[in-house]
Amino acid sequence: MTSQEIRRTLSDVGYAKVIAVLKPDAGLSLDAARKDLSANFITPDEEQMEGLVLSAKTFSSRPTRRTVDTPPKMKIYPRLGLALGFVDEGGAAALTNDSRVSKVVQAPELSLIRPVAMSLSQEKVATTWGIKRLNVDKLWTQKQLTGKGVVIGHLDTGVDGTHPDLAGAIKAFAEFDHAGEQVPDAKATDSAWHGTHTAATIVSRAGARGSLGVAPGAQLASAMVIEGGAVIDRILAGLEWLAGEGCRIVSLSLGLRGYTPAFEVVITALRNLGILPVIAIGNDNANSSRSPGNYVNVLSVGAFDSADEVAGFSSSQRIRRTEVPLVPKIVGPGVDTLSCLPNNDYGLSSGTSMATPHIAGLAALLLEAKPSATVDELENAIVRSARRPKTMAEGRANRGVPDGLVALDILLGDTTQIAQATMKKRVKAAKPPAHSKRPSK
Amino acid sequence: MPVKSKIGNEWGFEGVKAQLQKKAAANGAASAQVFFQERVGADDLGLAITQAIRNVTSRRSSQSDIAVGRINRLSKSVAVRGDVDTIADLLNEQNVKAVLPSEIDDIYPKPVE
Repeated sequence: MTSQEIRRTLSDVGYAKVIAVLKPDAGLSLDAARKDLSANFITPDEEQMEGLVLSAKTFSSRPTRRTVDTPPKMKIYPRLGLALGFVDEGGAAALTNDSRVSKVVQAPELSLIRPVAMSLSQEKVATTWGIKRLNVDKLWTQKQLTGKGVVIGHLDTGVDGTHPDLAGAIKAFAEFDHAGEQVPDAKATDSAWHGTHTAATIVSRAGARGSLGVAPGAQLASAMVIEGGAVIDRILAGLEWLAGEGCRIVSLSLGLRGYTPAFEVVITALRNLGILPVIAIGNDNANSSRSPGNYVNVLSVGAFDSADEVAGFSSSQRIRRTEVPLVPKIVGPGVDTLSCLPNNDYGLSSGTSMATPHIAGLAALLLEAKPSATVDELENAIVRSARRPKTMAEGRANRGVPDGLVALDILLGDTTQIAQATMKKRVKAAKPPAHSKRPSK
Repeated sequence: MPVKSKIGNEWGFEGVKAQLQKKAAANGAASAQVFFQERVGADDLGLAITQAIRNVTSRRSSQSDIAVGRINRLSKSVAVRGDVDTIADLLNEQNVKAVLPSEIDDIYPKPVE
């Protein structure tokens, strides 16, 4: 009989990753026997699998020996006597009853602790590639939008309030200790560096290295809630605190692997308070996501790079539900993002943590333009403005890259930018490739 | 129609229990947040957690050894501390939406190379 855990996963998502423990006399040295056993396994979501293969090629230290782009349905480990792969309900039952299999167990999901990657930078820029790619610089210059008057909530490792580029940018700060209690009179400090980096991407003012913040006129209500201690208690306390600080947007570069409904109530509560949750989807490659980033009612953000490709590490996942069956909803600039670091420093970092504050900052610019915009209007404008370049698979980027100018027009009901963007697309599609031959007469 | 991808069951009963055990103190006590369903009113959370604990301990025929802490109205959750098995069993209460261990190591997507 299929185990309860496997049955639950099959019921939730349609298939499960399993390990079949083979009997010693399974006789799987013959190709025919292997092929026969393999018939019980399936290939899950094709686009997510392609994303994983692409990641493998990208991050491999040597050319991959793989000659085909589709991973095998079943992997056999003859010395260990194990077979590994995905099964649906029929396959699970068949495998369990297979005379060559002694038992079938759910494959554990191991949690890789990724190295923290940040490199100090001496680079000086007018503005970052990500800001330009979103047309945020044009919102500054053509529409005079900076996010002035908008408060964005920020839960992270804290923020270094002494950084010159963040002068005047922090409206309020709270520190929640390892027990989840608020520390009285806490000064804006960063317990690590991550919070300063993400905060500055949202609101840093023009400084020594250039204009690195998307909404340099906005302000943050920032709380230190990670890492360490009772982080769940700390995060919940932070969200309660943010709700009272006049935030219209909250930027969350955090989440739990997989899916938990635990935060559904608080996310809905935030939206009902008029706060748009902008949340990172995760850095665990294709076929993965984190909660609450994978919820229906958040603006979930993946990461792409300056070559307009979805970052290999950027999570993406199809989920068994009718609303928002694919996450993230959009992608933001999240590779080699230049931003501020504690102690008056600057550095590059990559992750969906870096992409998320770009979108939160964009939302702030739009809110300045239309302060009466509802959460739904704000989110719809950003998502509808997004275009997916040919370099991005839908299963990895979903709607693609937002365009600040188009989002503004959608929000204000002006069709100028939308028409221009559509015209550009049509002209590009109609233009023949440079090498094409003219048809002979 | 493509087969939908695995969401995972890390936060189901077995997953949560394993996480709680990992973080439990030497005396076997662990800290957790108990999240209630939307239908439970924010003003009723104190009563809801008391009832849930009572139901579980009655089911398990054990003494109530769960301490109740802060109530979070916005998230409709309550902090608890106590026996791992009893806390995990709260997941079987119909008014309980989720249980998470308070301490989680992998809480945010770490930046990558």
